[in-house]
Amino acid sequence: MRRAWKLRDVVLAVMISVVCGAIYMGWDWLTQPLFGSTVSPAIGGIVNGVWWLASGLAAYIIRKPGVALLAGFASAFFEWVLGSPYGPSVLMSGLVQGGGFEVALVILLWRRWGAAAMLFGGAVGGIGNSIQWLTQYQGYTYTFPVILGYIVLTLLSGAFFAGLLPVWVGNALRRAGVVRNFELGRQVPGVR
Amino acid sequence: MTPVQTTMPRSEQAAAVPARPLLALHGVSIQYPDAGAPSVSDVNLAIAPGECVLLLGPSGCGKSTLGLACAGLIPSSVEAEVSGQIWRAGDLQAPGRVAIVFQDPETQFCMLRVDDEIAFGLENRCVPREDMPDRILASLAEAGLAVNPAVAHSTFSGGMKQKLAIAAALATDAQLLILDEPTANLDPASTRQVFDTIARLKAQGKTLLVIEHKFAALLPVADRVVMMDHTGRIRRVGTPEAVLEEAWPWMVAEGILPAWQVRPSAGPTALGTDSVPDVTARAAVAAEEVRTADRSQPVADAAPLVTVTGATLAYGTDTVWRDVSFALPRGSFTAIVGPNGAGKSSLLQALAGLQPLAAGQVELAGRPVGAWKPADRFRKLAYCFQNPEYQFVFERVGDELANRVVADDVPAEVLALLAEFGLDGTAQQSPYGLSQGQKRRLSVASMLRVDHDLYLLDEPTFGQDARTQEAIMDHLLRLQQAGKTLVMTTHDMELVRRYATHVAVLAEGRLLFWGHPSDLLKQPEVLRRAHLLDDAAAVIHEASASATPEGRASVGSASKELESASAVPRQRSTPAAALNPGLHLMTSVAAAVIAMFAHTLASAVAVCCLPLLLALAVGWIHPWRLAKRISAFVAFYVLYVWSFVAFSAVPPGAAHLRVLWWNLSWVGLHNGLVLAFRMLGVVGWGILLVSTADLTELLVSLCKNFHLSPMLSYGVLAGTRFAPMFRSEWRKLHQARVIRGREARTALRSVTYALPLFSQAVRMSERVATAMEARGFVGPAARRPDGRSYYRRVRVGAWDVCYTALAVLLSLVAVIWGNQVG
Repeated sequence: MRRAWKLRDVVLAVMISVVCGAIYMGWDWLTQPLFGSTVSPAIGGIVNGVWWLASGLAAYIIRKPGVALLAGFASAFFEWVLGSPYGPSVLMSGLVQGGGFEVALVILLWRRWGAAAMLFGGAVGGIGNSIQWLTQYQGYTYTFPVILGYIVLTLLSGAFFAGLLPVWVGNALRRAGVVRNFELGRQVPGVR
Repeated sequence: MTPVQTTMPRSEQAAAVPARPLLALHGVSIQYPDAGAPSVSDVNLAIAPGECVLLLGPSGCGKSTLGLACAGLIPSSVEAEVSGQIWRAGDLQAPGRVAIVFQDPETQFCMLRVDDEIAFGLENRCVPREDMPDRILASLAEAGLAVNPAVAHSTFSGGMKQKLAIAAALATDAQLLILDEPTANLDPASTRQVFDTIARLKAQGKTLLVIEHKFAALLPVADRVVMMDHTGRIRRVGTPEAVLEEAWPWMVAEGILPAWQVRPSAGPTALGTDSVPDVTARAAVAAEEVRTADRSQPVADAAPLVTVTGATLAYGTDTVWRDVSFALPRGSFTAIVGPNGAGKSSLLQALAGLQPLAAGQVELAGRPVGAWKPADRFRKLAYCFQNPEYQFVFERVGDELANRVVADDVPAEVLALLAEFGLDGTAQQSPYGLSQGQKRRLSVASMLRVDHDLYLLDEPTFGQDARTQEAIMDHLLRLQQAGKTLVMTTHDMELVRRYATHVAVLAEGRLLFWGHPSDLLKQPEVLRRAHLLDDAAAVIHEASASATPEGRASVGSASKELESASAVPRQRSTPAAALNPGLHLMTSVAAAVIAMFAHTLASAVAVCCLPLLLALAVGWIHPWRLAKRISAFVAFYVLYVWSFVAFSAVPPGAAHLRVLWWNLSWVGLHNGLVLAFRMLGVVGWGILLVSTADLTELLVSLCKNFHLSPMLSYGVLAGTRFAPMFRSEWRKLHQARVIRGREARTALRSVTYALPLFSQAVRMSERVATAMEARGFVGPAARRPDGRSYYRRVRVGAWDVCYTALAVLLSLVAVIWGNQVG
């Protein structure tokens, strides 16, 4: 696999981040009132995975070292500039979430890109998210069941939204022949 | 017409192969990785210095591919297999010496302002900073675009954007300029502007390779015409007269030219006058056109299907058009025309009730369009978007056209429609994988499948060659003859003349004309004001009327403006705006990290107040504005406080109250307030930075001062340009889903939204990256911060260091002191 980044890899990762940054920003304002502050903060974990969707999607399409981290950080940057209620803190979120995803890919030596690898990456991104929640967002002051529930749901959510969803979207893009010039499009056509 | 005629030194030997070429191709074939056959086959071509070569051929014949290869972008930036030999003269080999101007004005820029955009190519070639302002101004003058270089180019018309692209190419001393259908997206007047610029460049002795469908006006400028056929081979090379003489019937047969187009008669003078038909002559032709005149009479008295009364469209305080009133008779065929950006598509959307109006109303069959239930409304009318991908809901062409999953069992009527629109054999393909022209045909075809009363089409023939354009228009004509009402937007006055019964001219923020096309053609003044004339007089008039300083005479004042705006370090309005944005960003992040350690109410309040006080003291943000900005965030954090009040762990013995599943406690309130205050502090740092820093400077400073790879920083900047665009994409995507109604919901999968959005993102990324590389953003310029020069003067000075030290120190004091106080 060619591992050096091309300019189009960077620009695509950034474009994906622009789209996702806008989604994140809306998600920021929507989810806390809907989930976090009513039923239980733990329930808020269900929606978390969306916030590192860009990492999963960019990594799945471009398949090069560092792309998940770049997309995580860049999407957080756009999220902040577009008006996230978390302000520049989202930059740290981008680092820990995208960084978590990247750690999973490092463990797999950037060689495995199947659905299982993506599920794993999405879940590890959730570990990064949980660490930030426990510290910066004072998650540790909640009751133990809330903390446990939050972490478990966050990992599941990450595996789904940032792992599985990008696989679906990416495969649809590949079937459409749109990503021919990216690593995903060069793979031997697999199952539909 | 005069500028073109005066710039035609045509030599008799022009058709001969040049003795000392600038660029020579020997037996070049190019094949894309997944393609079954080469796009370009066995091409031999030489271009001499100072020559203008016009490259013609049917859609998809490999013209653009050949252009990319000449620019050296294949196989480096775009991957493909190249055989044969491409020889470049010595001074053509350095990056940026061959420049290319692309078809889409949007995706070839990567900066926000005019001067930054032109400077980008200079930076890539390490041109010293002090030379840049002069070269920027000189290239703007050469391209005939004398605007204030310090303005953002996002508001430019398509023609101005293409001129800017040409200016950016000229600034880097490009020896060969390749223009790949530069006028495809432009209205007639803007097209003319670009053609005039091409003529001027030719007169200045530039070497040009022009790919263009609307080539008639360029024939007097061209030295040679290269004609390609659909297999990617060169069919004929020679002088314009010789090639057209020989190949005209073939071009009509191939669908390159419409059958009705009159061949320009031979001889340079005749060519010159013929290329711009006289308005009155056109009107005369229109009057003779029996079909048009006959068809328009009976429908004029019919009861209107749609009535527009006093309609006004505004975005915020920005009025696009006001007081538009007209009535569409049943069975009429209306064309909406006007300059780029006049709001034609918005008017079409307003007719469908997709675009809320600021004032006035639209009535559909006697009822306000908003009063219709969406399901009923979209049974009554059909809408075809400019970007066909918006309306695709299914993943296969056959399913899309049948509007349900048909798998391999494609119904006969679907196959018939596919054949009619030239889409045979695509039933199992993905709609997104089709060519742009095929996508457009598919969207028109799927709209025509179901019977409606009113058909609204946004540029239905855009990007089609003559033959498919004819097929689409004939189908629309049959609908009209069957009593349907049609409305389309278009730039093509020939279509208006041939097909429309009514024409609405939208320009200057209002309805400039409403009536019969032949009456419009008798009013050159209206045509000129609406950019519908393609002659030079209109261009010159527009130039003098333009609000921005246009023309060489005013370059002097533009030069002064450039100096005051950016060439000298800008006089900063506030102390915060004078900060190095890169360091400012890092300072804000550092302060946010320090704020994490505030564990008591006192320290949390202190870290909250610090950035707000700084915003007043060094950002000079008005207190009322600051309060308004922060209020939405305060409301958000009230909810956070609640979640801590209700769910915090309560130590044994502490007061708490169980209500439902909540466990309300004072401890929780304390925890919540601590978090809320310190997060508001972080938000405050963000507001201070966002409202004082310039995004371009932020990313340039990260690259120049903090050694972030240029590829990353400039890549982020290039992507940023598209943030507003994706917002409108999302809106249109949603509208398209509304139109599909129930059908879209049954196919509700995440991919139906994600596919159009991300396939657009992928395509734009590829184009932007190619355009950036074409401008020399390769090698050290893209990979090493010291491999390029910088136009923006960003540096870290004493004030930056003081500010950072102060901000970090005060944050630390606030946290440590506050945590001790408790």
